[in-house]
Amino acid sequence: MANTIGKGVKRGALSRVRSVAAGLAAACAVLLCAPATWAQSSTITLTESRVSRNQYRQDASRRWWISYEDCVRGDAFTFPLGVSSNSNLIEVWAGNDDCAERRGQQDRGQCWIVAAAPPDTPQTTVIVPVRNVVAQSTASSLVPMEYDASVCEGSIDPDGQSVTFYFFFQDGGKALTGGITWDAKAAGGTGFDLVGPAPPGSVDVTVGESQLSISIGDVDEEGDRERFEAFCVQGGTAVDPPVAPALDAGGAAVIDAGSSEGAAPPECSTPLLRAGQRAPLGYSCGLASETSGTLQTSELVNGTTYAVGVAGQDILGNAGALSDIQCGTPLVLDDFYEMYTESGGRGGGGFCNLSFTRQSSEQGRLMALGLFFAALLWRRTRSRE
Amino acid sequence: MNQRVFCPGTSQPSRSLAKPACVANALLASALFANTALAQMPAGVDWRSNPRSDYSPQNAALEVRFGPYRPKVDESTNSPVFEEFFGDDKRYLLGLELDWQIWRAPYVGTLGVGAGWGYTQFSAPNQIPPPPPEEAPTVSQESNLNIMPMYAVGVLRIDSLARNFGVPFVPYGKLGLAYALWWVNDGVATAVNDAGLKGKDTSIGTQAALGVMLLLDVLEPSAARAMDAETGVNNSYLFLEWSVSDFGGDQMNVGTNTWVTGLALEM
Repeated sequence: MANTIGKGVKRGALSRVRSVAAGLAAACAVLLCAPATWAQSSTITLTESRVSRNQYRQDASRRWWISYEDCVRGDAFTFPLGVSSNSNLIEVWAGNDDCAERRGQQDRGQCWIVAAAPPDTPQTTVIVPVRNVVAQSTASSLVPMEYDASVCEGSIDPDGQSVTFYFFFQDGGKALTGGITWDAKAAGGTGFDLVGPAPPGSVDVTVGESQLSISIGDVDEEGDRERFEAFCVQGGTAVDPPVAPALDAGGAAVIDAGSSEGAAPPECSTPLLRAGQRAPLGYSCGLASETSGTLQTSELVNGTTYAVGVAGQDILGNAGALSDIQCGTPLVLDDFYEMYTESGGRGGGGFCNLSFTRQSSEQGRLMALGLFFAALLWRRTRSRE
Repeated sequence: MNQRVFCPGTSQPSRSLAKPACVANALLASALFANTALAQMPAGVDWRSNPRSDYSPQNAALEVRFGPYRPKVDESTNSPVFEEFFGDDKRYLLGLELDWQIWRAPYVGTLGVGAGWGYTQFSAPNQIPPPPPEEAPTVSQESNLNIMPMYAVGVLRIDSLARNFGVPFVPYGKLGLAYALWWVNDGVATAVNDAGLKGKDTSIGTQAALGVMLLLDVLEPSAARAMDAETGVNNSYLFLEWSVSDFGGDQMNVGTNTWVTGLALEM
């Protein structure tokens, strides 16, 4: 049985739940129906290998870190806990201080509550939305309300913040013994970093067939940057409602339609891409390593004009602010082989496409001559032996 | 020989021979140096080397080859599409050849068979089909024509002049079959034409060459003897050859007529 916590459950309500649970536990104890091993002591256990997230990061060194996209898409941690007491509320805190010790001093800004759950079974699953971690709310001791994606825009620390999770029973505002911590240090730790690195100083878009080629220049050294990411939006595209998760924060929140500063050129005008601002999710059209001077986009539609911008991307996949926006139109092009065959050239089809009929008669004669020459040498060698 | 090679257009000695033109210059400079060394021998010293009789067994020759390469692709088309697409800039081929010297013909030289391999590449931007637009955009997507010529030849090296009379030149000839892999990348993947045919194939043809090798042993005869005794390298040469390969018929003619130079070792 799983309890989904952290969705606006107020402390008062939880206290009532706790009271009811305690009452039921007492009744069960009277009726000798409570498992003996559960009611005897107050400890929490966590099997680390069973902790999960909805979206796993490819980079195993930062698997548990929270990126901007994780936040916008509303990812969540799932913690399966073993609980040996059903009489106290379980609270989950995040922070970078000794939060079990400092519970109740959350106004210091170093610890904040992210979830709470009544331990109604020996195996309790606590779900912690990543937005509750990112929000870093220290305004009250209430379990956070359900945050929308706009909370992801509020995290502006380019270095991010590492955190430790604290799980403990609380009774009357005090943390009881038997709690545990989880920092995932063996897997690169955990925390949140929602800000991407700086963009290149200049970009130049040139044409290809079904793709654009982007030259990247004036790149400043930035340790946080792992690669560059290109964003392509068809000229004339306004806001695209179907990509709702992206536009909650990454799109609509950053667009200021009233200003022309950093806007795309008129021939590929779109409010979705703007220099100096974050691109909306869902419009990525290519990646290149940090050391690459050129980025080839993924497949685009020939004859369609695109607004194109490039952002730096960090190890978590956070794209930073966009470079200047340029226009580009992929075109149908003739490659050399097309021109060769259009001019009557023969050949092609693969290395295994052998056809001996295509050889000229002179070559056939020369091949026979070569075989004769080889046979002569072989005979000479044999006779010498 | 501590020779520093200056590449044209640069003021610094070249530490790497990455640029093909620079490599060509280096080889030419080496050849000229060898020529100058022969010319500057003290008066009274015979420019011919003393014939040696202390050679270790000789069975093979290895050549490192370099030269300009311009394929005869336009001979297999109705219009000079290769020249129009790739222009007329020189491109270069780097290659290797290994010969098995099967038989030594008395008073003539060695007769053997050899196999060669080389590689070259041509790149140019893809083209906007006609009619051209009023404001032609910059096209960055490139076609790459890759050619990997190979051959199997019979080789006759007439080294009796060098061996018996001390004349440090070895003329030679090669004749045989050529085989080439070629493939075209359109900037994204292997090119495909409108009929759906992939732009990669093989071509089969003929290979012939005539050349002359300059025996470098005459510059340091004692060092040459020592190298033979220690490593089994009988002779080392600089060579220059005129090479002809042809791939006629219904296939892409990726053969060429060109000068090739390089270094050869007999072992």
